[in-house]
Amino acid sequence: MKYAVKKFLMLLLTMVAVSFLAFAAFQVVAGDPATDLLGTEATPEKVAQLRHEMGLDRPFLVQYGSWLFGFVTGDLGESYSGGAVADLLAARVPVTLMLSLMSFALTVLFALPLGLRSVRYGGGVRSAVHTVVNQFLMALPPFFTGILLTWLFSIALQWFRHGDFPGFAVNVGGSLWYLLFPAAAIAIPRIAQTVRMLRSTLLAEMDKDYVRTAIARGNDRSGVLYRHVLKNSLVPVVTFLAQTMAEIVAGSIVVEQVFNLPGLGRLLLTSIGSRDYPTVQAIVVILAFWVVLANTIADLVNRCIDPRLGGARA
Amino acid sequence: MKKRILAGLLAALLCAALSGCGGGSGESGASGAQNSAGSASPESTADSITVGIAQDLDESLDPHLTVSAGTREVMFNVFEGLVKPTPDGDLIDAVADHHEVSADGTVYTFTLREGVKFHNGAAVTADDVIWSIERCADTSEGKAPLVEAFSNIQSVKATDDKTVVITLNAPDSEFLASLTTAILPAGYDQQATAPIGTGPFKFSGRVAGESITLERFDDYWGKKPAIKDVTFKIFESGDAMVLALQSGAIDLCAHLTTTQAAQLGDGFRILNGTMNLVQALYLNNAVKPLDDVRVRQALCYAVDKQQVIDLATDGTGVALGSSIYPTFTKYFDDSLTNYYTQDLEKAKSLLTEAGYPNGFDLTITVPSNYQPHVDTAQVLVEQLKAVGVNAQIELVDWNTWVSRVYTDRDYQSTVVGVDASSMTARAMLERFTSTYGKNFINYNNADYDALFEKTQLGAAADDDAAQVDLYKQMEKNLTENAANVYLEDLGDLVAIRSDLTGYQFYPIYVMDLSGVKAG
Repeated sequence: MKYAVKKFLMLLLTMVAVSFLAFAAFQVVAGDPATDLLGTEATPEKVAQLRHEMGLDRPFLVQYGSWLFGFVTGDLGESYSGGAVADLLAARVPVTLMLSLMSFALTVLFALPLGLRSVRYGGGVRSAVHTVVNQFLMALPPFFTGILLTWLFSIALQWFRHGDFPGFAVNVGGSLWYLLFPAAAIAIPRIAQTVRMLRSTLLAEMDKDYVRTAIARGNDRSGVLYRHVLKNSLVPVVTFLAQTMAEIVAGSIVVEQVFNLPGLGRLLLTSIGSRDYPTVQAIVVILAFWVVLANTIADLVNRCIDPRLGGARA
Repeated sequence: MKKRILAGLLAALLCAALSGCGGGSGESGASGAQNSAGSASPESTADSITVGIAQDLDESLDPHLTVSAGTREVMFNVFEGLVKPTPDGDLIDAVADHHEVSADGTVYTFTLREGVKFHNGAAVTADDVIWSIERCADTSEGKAPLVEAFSNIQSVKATDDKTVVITLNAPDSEFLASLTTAILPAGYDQQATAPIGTGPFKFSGRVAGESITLERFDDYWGKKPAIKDVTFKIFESGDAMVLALQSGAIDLCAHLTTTQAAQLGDGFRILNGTMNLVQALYLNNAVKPLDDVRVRQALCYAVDKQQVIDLATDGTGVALGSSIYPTFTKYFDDSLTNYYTQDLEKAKSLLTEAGYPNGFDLTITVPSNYQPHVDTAQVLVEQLKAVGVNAQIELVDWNTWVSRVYTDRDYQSTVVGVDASSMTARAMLERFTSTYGKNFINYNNADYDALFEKTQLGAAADDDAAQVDLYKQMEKNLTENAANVYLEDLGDLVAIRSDLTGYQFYPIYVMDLSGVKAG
């Protein structure tokens, strides 16, 4: 219980700190919502007037405070480019959330079996081939995988039509099918990284004395691998997967651009461009929440896997 | 066993892939879900097309409040004024049937066209016209009028149901161009979200950040469009736009770069027009060393325009020499285009004369989201090296550019394109008068100011030829004083599905879809 409260407070603190930093960053860069709205119609007088109307001439801390107060009381504010921030988010969160979950599912689904298999190669040619392919896939940035997948599956094979995301409101099946390709684009490098991580952890564990003893006592290799080694290697792997959860969201911001998906990432980038503070703030807080949440879940799962951690950390 | 299953799966995948590849017609049916998206062969008939655009429209679609060129470009299909522009750069009557101008140039009498309806079905009356014009001329509460030229209006009156008389304080031969201002239903207050106009297409829906849809207006007074539905889809990433074109999700897309256009295959035709803007190395005339006319002229002599056009934009641009672009034929003065030809010796001696025998450091601030300007700046950097000017590119995002360069004028030089908000020379040239709020290059030349004043006064404003002559003198003034290093009007590449025809370029920044049809 105490643990949960502590975690929750940390979560709040992180979110406030991150939102403050994001707000502060905007004070440093040139341009603000007023210059964005006016564009080339801008004259110094017009900008000053609009700034005043929008309350942008107030001191920085006052602006941040009023945003924070609204946020805490459940009012995300109005986007400068129209509409309530809450409505903007409601339309986009499902896309990003589904994309992230699909990427994560793909990562786990492929990485665990592949990682386990790779350990059984031991050394030799297959291991070398495995390492080369793995290194190559690991180095692929998601936007590039995205373009490759589009060429292959959209332009050459015509399995899906790039840029034609139907939206969940219109067609759930079609939307999921479309999301499969960006999800794969994000997952492929993550799968490779997870496989490598799993393989090195497992191999290190396999060298331990208890494994040699178990094998010496007549247990077969794969039996030992699944029954003992895997269980003992899971803690770092789960922690790694939690990082993956966080990085998948980061990846989806880029991949949403490539696949023209109406998700949080696209909204974030346009909002930064137009200095739409309320929208950016809300998204930053959501992303921070996501990252902290993933780590908290990983902690909790690890405590279940290895009860010894509970005593050490609580 | 497992291996066999895997092999089977792979074989099945391969088969599906191959059949998907070969079967361009009919149902390829590799997956149920995929049919929702359709096969990638052009599914949209000429009945409906999808157009890719690079940014979302303004929050408000009210045409009187629109500031961004991208919004005006799209909504051109929805709204009309008393008059409207043609692809040739003329103005023809639209909501008006015909009009007369009094001999002294101050009284405009418009007779409204019979049978012009708003998209809500109501007929356009003189009241609507008066309401629309008065709304844009409103100066109550000390506001500037929405349409600057309307500050000259003395009165707008209806003499009968179909006749509107506009009286001006002083003659203004460019006044007609400002009457392209949209005519809207009187008192209608939902223009921002559910716009209603009289154009060939009517607004049918919008998803913020994603798309906007238009529908053919079947009661349009003029030639009705061949296309029934138009969807404008937003692709903020240029790569995503090209991929969507290749996969068939969009049928038409303007403002492509040459690299993007080159990636498209046989499915598309590339039409080559111009962007109707003046791209230049704009110089802050108020900062050292650019406040010296010899230095500015030296920069002009250092640059080879044609090489810029060839290298930065693959030869699609059209050279120019002052602040009027070539498609604006009435005012364009081609003799200024090659006023400065590359002459490194001359450039160096001018620099020496000005006290910079070893050149100087120059920062070129460029908005990073406009690739053609970035590419142009890169070529300029190399060319300027030859005369010892050590130029460096500073990339900034658009908002920073607007704030720092355009509004605060805190910069040395910048590469951008400047366009006209209306089809008048005034829109291009007034901006460099010394007291004008948008004079971002801080050009300060008494002769220039005097010339501009003359264009707006009595005799000249009344006499078209005299006014044109004055504007040309203003252009020459800019060139002679090397206000900026003028380069080109950028090429505008439009990709259009090869079975569609009828796309027309205009001398202003609009996208007219009313003529697009199959075959």
